[in-house]
Amino acid sequence: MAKGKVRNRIRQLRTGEGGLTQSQLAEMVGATRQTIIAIEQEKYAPSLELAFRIARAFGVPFEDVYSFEP
Amino acid sequence: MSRSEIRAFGSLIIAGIVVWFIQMRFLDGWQVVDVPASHMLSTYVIATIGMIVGEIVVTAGSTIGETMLNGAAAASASVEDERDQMIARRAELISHWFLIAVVNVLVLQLILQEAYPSPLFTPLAIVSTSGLIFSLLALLFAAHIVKMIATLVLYRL
Repeated sequence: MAKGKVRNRIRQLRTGEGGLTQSQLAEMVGATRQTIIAIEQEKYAPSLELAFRIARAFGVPFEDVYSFEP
Repeated sequence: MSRSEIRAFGSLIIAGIVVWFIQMRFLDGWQVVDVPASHMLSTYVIATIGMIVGEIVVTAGSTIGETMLNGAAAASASVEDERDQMIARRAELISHWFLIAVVNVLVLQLILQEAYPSPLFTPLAIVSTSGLIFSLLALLFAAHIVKMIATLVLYRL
């Protein structure tokens, strides 16, 4: 089975209205700045828990942040 | 550079210095020389203490290093998260398989050189106590070096 890819809109949401820095987001969700960078660059797919924390930090539903490309 | 990366890099340098020290005490060229027990014990004690002290210094230094590189705000943020733990687990696994592979190669090499002695190949000198201790220490530190290199590479992928 071909491996799918988890896409995200974290960078757009972060730099949008709120104007959060990577460090601020990292602190809000309990991760390191390097992890936020890796997730934004789609080099690392976060765990479900961290994914939900990030969506909650932006105050948007999960599907608005993540999508799956099979 | 995260604190885990700085720590891995520091630990790699410390392990390299310890391996260099061990080879200096046991090898003459590429050959393991027979050394007295006191020499082996002092090498072992110095290498062990050196590694422990080095790790403590690296752990303390990585905190200061991260503060200098990324600023105080970044250093006070989360120290280690799920990605760091995932990378540590993978690096541990790579090091584990490296150890298994090397031990198997050594075992096969020793069996084959016993069964089919050939003047074409230099036999492994693990039969002496010095050879055995050097091999075990070198293997231990080589596995640690592989783990640290794997950690640094996995952070870059």
